[in-house]
Amino acid sequence: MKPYILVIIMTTVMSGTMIVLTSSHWLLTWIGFEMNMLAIIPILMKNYNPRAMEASTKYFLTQATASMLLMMGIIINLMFSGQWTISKIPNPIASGLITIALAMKLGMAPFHFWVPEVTQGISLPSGMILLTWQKIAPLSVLYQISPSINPKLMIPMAIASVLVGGWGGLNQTQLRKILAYSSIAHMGWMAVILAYNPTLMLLNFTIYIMMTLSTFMLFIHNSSTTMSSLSQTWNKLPLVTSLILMLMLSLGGLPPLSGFTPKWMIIQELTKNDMIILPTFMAITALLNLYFYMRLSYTTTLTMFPSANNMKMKWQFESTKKIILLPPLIITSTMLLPMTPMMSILE
Amino acid sequence: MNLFTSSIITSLSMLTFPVILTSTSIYKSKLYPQYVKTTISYAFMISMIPTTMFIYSGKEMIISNWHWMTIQTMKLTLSFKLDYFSMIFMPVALFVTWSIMEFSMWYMHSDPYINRFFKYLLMFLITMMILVTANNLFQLFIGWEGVGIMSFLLIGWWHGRTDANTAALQAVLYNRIGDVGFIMAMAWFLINLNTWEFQQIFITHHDNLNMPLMGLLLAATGKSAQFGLHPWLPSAMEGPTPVSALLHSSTMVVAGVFLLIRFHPLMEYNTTVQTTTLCLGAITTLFTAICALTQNDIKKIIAFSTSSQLGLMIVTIGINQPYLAFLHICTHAFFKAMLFMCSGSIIHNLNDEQDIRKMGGLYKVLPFTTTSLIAGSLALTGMPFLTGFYSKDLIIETANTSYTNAWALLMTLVATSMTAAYSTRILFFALLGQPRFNPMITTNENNPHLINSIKRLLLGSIFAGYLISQNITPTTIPQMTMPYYLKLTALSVTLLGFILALELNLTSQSLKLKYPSNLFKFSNLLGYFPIIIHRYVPKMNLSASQNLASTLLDTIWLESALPKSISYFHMKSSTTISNQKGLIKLYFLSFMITLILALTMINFHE
Amino acid sequence: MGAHLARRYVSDQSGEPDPQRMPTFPPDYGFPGRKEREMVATQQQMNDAQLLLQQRDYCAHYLIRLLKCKRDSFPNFLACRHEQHDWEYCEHLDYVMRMKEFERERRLLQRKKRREQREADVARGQGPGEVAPKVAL
Repeated sequence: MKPYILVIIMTTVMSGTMIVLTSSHWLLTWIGFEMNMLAIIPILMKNYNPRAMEASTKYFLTQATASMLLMMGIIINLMFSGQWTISKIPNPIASGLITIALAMKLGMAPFHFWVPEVTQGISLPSGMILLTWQKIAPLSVLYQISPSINPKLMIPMAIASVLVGGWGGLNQTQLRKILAYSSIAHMGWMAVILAYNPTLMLLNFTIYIMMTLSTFMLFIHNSSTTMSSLSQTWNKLPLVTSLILMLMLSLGGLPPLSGFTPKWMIIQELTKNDMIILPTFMAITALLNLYFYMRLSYTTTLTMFPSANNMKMKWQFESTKKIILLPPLIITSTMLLPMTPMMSILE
Repeated sequence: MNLFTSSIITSLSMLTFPVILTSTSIYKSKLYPQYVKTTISYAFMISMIPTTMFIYSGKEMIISNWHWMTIQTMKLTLSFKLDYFSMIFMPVALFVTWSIMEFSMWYMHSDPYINRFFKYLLMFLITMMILVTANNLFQLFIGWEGVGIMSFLLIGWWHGRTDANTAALQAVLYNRIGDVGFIMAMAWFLINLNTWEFQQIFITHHDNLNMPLMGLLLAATGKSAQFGLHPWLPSAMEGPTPVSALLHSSTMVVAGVFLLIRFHPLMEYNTTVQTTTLCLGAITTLFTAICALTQNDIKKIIAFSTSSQLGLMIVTIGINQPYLAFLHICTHAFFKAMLFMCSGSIIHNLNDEQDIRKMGGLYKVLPFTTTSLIAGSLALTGMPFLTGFYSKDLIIETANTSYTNAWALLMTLVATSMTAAYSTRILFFALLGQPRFNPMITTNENNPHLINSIKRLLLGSIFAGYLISQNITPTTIPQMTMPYYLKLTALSVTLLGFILALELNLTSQSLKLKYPSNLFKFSNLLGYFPIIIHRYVPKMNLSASQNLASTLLDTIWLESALPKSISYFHMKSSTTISNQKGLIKLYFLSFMITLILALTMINFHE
Repeated sequence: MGAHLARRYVSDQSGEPDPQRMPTFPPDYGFPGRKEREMVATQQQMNDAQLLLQQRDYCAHYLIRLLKCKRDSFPNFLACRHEQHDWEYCEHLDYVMRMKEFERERRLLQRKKRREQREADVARGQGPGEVAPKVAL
């Protein structure tokens, strides 16, 4: 791909998301989604091979369906309220349709099937964009319509997402799939709090993006897509192994790392809303995620996998790759817990 | 007056000197057994002084000295009760022990630790004296536990043998069951009557005494090997023969009966406990007599016979005749100790052979032992004018003319008949007929230690009953009135037992049963009691524990139910969830179903 | 262990006296001039002789005599045969008397039962009519 084409495409992706974020008109929002979706396809297909083709086709099909449903929801809303403004949606069908459309775009259960397959089919940088940047637009819309979202629709989806994210990841050795399921689970956590405290959703999302970005960057830096290749990190980049451990535990939401902040806040918020069983269940299900993160760190950090002797020389070579973004990202994605009181800036 | 107490104290404290001397060089010399024996003989003679005074004047005393401690309102003192029972029993026990000590000098002469053995026997005797003379429950308990511990040590004397260790443990465990009752009774007296002194217990009125009396009965059941807790007594025959003669026939095992005699004033008017005691005694005497019928180990037969006689004593207490029971304790001590010593003589002479089937014809080679054994057996069966007659005949006549449980009395009569049967069996197999033992064995009973000790007890077995029953002041009203057939019942059932056993034994020489009958198996396998209680119950217990602790808790609850099932559930869920085939059509189908369901439910649910 | 026990088990128990709760009829029932038995030994004498509770019966004076004789001729335990016999004979007679009392009690109980039966018959309207001599007793 030629660089200027890449620039154009990336600009389109960004501007699509920006349009969604800034628009207060449903049509413009929808246009933003379409722009974003159409522009991301070439990025997904950057490695031109049948697997990537398949993945981008799947992505296109689901996103197109979601856009269609979103449009339908918008039109029904227009029919009942007579306006295009993004505000309260009085009609439950419109609200439900929009919610489902956005959930489909986000890849929440039970619309999650495409997420692991698409992520697995594309390259690591594309996957990174898919699992981070692509979540911004739908979540921003969800944030805007959060008062109109029916919790009876959202919470089951959230529970399903958390379960699917936990169970699905248990069985994986592919890093991209693991991160895809991890993303599904985090979407569940965001969805569950959406109707009660959207700010916490933003917090969770922010921290999720930081953690996922840094994880992906580490994997890109390491060029690892499987657990077995990651398990050789110790004789290539010894320092990275310990960082992976911290990142994984932070993703799993273990105190005192950043990942614990949103979980803590969400559980507290749900408890304040007189819900005991739901947060308990969510916390227990988070153990499933923690389990496979732990397994990842176990193979990577906690044990030293056998390797050939010549491999053990590699740590002496200096890496030529530039890792400018990684240090701040890793710091924020692991050490943010003490900054929790500053959460009010999100309000 | 002073002679009474001072001689008692002399006699008792004399016994402790050889124990104290174990820290000196005498303990290392070969003279120690002799020294112990002589001490006991002196103690016996000195103890005869107060006994004679008691017989003369009927004087009873309590020596109460050394106030030990006071717990709130309860006073614990060291006090000795020198009444009818202790005054008669002390010389008897000392006399029997004296003979047994002398016998041990012969029987245990090759034992490397003979001095320690004598010390143990002596310590046992001391604790027995404490038990007998105790005037409060605490002191009695010290004696009670002391004899228990010494019994444990002495049964396990040959601790190199598994059987001896097992038997010792068995004795100690069964006795602990009995102790549960004893301690319960003690606790009850403490709570309800606030005293452990006998006199105070007896004069304090309480409406319901079932609880402590049942506890005491349980204690007596354990110590005196009554039915249910009896298997330790035959097992205790693993100990050396002098131990069997001293502990498990004449002294320690009667401690339970002695306890019930001591507490008879409480039991007297409690019909529930009386009946329980009577039935327990009757079952014991019959059951153990049945078991004795088919045993082949000479010591086991005598052990079962002891158990049977203990049952008879308990029956006697059950028909409200503690004095008769006590008389039987005293007479029984003589002939039963002698029977054990005779069997010890036979066993030692036949080079540790205990099986009566491998004896025979011993009347030629061991004439004196044979004589004593026959005299002892006759005394045991209650042949007129031997020692056993004076107590046993009285017991059976009193039982026959009483108006209590006829069933229990009938069982006792049957057991009396069986006494003759198993005695005949010993005599027949061990003494009569052709020798069946190894001809190379040189038998020799011409050792003064053996001869003298058995001789003394033989005299006791013949005359003691007469002397005791003539000398002591009448304590009960003798049962004088009965028809001829009732008068002759005891004698006739005994003779019947003799004749039947003789006939059966003669038959057994020419005829042989093809298969052992069920009755024979019942008797030979001790009524299946050890199999059931020692095998089945522990097996059930252990397997139940294993099932509960290991299988149910560990492998089901703590393993299968939670960790395994959780991991299985998550494994299955995980494979189900992540098992995607990449079929986009199916994904969209599921999207559609979800969409329709969600929208319809949102619409129509609210 | 006699016939009375067998009767208690086999036949009707209500006609059997309980030896521990006797007598239930007045002692002079049918004996107009019956005198109470005389206790020879006094309480003081029995106390002095230190008799056991169950020995303090109507033969206690013989026992006291026997005990005194035994003490007087102490080492010789073969003495006092006569005193011993007197005491035991007295006890024998006492036993016989107790057995007779028991039998009296039993018969009186049975008669009482028969009478109640007859009264019940009369009450039910079946007049006296012909009564068997056994029942008429």
